[in-house]
Amino acid sequence: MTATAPNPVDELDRRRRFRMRRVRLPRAWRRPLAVIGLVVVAFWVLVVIFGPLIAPYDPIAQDSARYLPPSAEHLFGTDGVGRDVFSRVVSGARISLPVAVGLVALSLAIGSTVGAIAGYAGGVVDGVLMRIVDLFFSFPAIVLAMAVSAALGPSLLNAVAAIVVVSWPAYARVTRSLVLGLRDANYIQASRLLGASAGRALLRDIAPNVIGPILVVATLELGNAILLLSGLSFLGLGAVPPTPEWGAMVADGARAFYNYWVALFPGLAIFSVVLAFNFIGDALRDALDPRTERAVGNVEV
Amino acid sequence: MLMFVLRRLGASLLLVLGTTIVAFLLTSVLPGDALTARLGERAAANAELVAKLRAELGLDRPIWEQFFIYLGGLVRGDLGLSLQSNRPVTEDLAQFGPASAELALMATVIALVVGGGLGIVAALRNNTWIDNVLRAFSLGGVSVPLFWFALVATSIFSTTLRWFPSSGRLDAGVAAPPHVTGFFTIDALLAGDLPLFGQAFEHLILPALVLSAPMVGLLMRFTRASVLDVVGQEYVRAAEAKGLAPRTVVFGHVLRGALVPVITIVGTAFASLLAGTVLVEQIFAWPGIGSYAYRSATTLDLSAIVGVTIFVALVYIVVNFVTDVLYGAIDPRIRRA
Amino acid sequence: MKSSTRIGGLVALATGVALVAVGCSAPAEESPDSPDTLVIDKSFDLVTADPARMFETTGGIVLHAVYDSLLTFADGNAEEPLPSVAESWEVNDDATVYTFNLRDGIVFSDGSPLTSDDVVFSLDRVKNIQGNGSFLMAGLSVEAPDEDTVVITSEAPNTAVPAILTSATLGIVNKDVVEENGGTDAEDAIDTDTAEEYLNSASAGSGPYTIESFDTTTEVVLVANPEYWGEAPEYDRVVIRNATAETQLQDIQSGTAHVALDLGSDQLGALEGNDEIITSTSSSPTIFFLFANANVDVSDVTATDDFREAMKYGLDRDALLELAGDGASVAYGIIPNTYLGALGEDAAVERDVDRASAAVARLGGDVTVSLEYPNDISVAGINFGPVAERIAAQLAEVGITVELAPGPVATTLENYRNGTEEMGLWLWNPDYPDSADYLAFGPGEIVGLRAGWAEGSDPALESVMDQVSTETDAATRETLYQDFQKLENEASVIVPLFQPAATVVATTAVGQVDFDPVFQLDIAAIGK
Repeated sequence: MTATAPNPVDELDRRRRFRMRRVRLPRAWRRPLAVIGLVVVAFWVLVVIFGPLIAPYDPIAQDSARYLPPSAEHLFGTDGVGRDVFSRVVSGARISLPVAVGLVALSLAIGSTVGAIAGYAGGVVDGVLMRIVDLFFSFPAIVLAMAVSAALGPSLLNAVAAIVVVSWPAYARVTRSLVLGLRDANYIQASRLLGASAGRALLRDIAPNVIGPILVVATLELGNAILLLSGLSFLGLGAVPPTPEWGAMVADGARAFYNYWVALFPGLAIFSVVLAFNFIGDALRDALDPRTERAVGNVEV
Repeated sequence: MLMFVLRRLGASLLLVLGTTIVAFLLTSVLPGDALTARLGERAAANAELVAKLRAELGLDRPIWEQFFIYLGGLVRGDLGLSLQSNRPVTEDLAQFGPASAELALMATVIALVVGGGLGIVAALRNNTWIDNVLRAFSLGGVSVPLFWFALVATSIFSTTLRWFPSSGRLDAGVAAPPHVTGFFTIDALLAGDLPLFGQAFEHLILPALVLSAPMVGLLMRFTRASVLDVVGQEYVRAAEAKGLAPRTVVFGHVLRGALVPVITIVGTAFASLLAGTVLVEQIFAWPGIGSYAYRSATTLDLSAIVGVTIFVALVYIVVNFVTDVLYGAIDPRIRRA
Repeated sequence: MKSSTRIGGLVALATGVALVAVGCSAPAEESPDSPDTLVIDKSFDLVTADPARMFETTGGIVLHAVYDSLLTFADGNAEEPLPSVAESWEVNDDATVYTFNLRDGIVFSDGSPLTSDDVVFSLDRVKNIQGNGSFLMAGLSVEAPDEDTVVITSEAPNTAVPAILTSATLGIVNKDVVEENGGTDAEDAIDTDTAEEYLNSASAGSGPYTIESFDTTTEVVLVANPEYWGEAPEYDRVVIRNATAETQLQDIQSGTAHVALDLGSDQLGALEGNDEIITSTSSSPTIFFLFANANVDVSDVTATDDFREAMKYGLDRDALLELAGDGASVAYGIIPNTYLGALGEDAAVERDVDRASAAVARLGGDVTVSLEYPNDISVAGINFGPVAERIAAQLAEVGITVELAPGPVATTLENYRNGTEEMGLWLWNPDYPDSADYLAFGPGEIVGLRAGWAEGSDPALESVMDQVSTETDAATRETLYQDFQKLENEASVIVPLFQPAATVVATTAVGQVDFDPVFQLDIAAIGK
């Protein structure tokens, strides 16, 4: 069931293909979905930067009547306490996106460090580290995340901590398998013979070769992170009101879903961002070694 | 195979120990106490009653002692008492587990049929606009926030169109079929009660469709990649060279080879459905493990949290086992070896 | 070609599945006739079906239909207790000795007669099991001089005894059946009584219904008790299902449920103009209140007179009422508007932003406090979240920054009960329909302590509380309760906000169903 020892010929072939694909990388951007993804992400980045200029109202001011349907005055209507939904969706971008990026960066830093050490050191270190990874992996992520947020008290920060705790093992696995593949490559062996330390080998020789696939994973995980974060907020275990977090806004709207606009638009915002990241990640994944697909594919939380 | 099972079992024992420790640490280090919520407004003000209840539940002992008492029970198959339901956790799991399993299995079947089918189409129409549209569709399934999707789906199909009931596993007050598997659809069939089967199915289909969305996307992508992989391989080319009809080649050779990796991913994906069930069950009032997990987590119900974790780990093991068997049955190369 | 057949089979199965799905998807048929089985949606807080251990809202609704108490309330009236198991009663002048004459001919669901022995057993069992509702029996003792008479003696004068005795917790159980199944009323019942398991699967009462099945998380099924001594209920079978307010809305729209109990203004908007549905709205006795902790150790901000003044005048109660639904009312005092001594509109506090801002300025301006509330429960369809958000927005206008700290009940309740919340937003449901229950909000009492309000911090108020608790004259009590609330409002440690609208929604087939101010819902009265 688990990875079988790679056949040397396969390995050689794999690396050749890897390099070949890399040359063709630019072709990825000719894919229509990737282009759409990039445009949407660029759009949201602009929203994040210029949010306060775009939002017509204060996202937390309860100045209007409750549940006004969408109109010229309130593009996305108003919510149950009389706030402008459009302004809240716009401000929500400034929360969901940066937090998700930070969250993924943190998980990636922890996970890939552990994975690299395990892959490079091998033996007992590898065994112990990977059993820990397995442990976290098989712990139902959402249950752990829910328990952590419930116990610490709901807050955006606690939700982020909970998600980092459950998501770093994915990076550890991918990094380890990549490092494992490279460890015995001739040029690394050579550099080791030349007296390079383990840390140096990892950073100088191995890191540049594994960073690509890991970034693909990270792009795809960005979408997952946003989903999980908004899911926790939806359950009341993430962002605290009146923070205009998208998941929490969907929860607000769910109470009176016949006033569809309260929940519909923040939901669409989540959907569009996650979809865009997945469009980009998917194109990147294809552009790189098709085999990363398998490693990456396993990284579903 | 035996070795595999043994190794898996060993690993899961470790896992159970690990989760128990994690769960214990979590609830003891952190503030909050499931006990408080059990007492009424007046009783909570009665120090004597509080102390009595703590003693009864063993909460007055040091945490390490509680831990070993719990482990002792675990060895005997006793998962302790759930604070929120006031019943043994094993009873709760026996009640809620099959409900979720039925939902997840239905979602898996939908995902296999829809995702697998579209994946094949996408592979055969590789790099055409159809491929791109299907790819967008598959990524859409992976990207949609389930809690929102569930709301939109109920609002359209239950509230507005009234095609499906909005909640629960059966209509209100309808008695469940005699318990055999715990799957109401199957139990109803076993009992020969077709109308009940129809009803159970009607309740099952919408939440299962919603839950299947990410899996459809995942399976479609995998099937597509897998079929493409196989198409290029020698035995397929040999089959083509033999002059077999394209249909026969696709269904006889390509699919057989392509199914192998798909089957493995089904296992992983099935176990990962739990995250989805937590959100979907909330909205469809589906009395399953997902809602139970949510209640356990928010009430800091330690035994239930550990119980759910162990349950999920077990499901994971069983599913992996089943996929391994299927894997051997489908891939001729493995079977021969 | 073995595998291709397998795939073929799979496809066939899928097609079959899809066909069946289409076949099943016809809209549910709705007959205009009254349903055979009545389906009631309720958001559950069920724990047990053992009366002696039960003290929850849902449990109260269920057990009120299964067990008869000595006295009862009916028809939405919460002022005058009516005879039930007791046909009549007398009380001595200082309200310490109550004598009840039991009705003849009452039998339990197994056909055996109900006697004074059963009453004594039931009440003593509640007392000695020391469950959540055992405080109802505090200071009371029960005796049975003969088979048809029960005498209840109170240690101190207590005019609330008749109201207390209506509680479903004090429902009369069949002594023989409960004893057979491990029940006892002995003093050590807390350790030795094991009848709960039996009472969770069957029932041993004399009420209009018996329990067919009982599940704390999904549904409770009741069937009519053929031995019932009173008028038989309209529906032979009643299912009470656990559903959130959102699900209840869908269920009532799709005809899945006939009665929904927890719809709030957020959901009711969707039912406007729906002629298949009858809504009945009244004011619920539940009080939502806000408190500022008076304990300096918890907060040196909220424990000041200036902060309390800022809070009192910074709140816009009418704007909060908007969130509580049509039919809700501002709580002018802590005692609900239908109870003895409730305050009227003349006690209203008008918002005064200048006065509040001045108080904040005296505190040095830029005040930041945290407000805790539970975010996973809703009562009468009202979530605490929007209310807390609006409070925060209102207080922000007078210069107080309120940081919201929501959490699941399990965690927030602990802080609340330990009295460590700087500010809290909670609610109070009456334990029994008598104003005496609201003395809990005084200094040194249960809720008072949770707000950090220690005994002795308001002597004037506490002396009124002492007087009213032993006063037997109704008119004097009314004045005293009014004084109690005025002094409470003056102190403003605890600020009552509103009584939400209690709306019961029913389908036309069932007809109008009214909210019951004591039991929330009187199941046996539906359809009559």
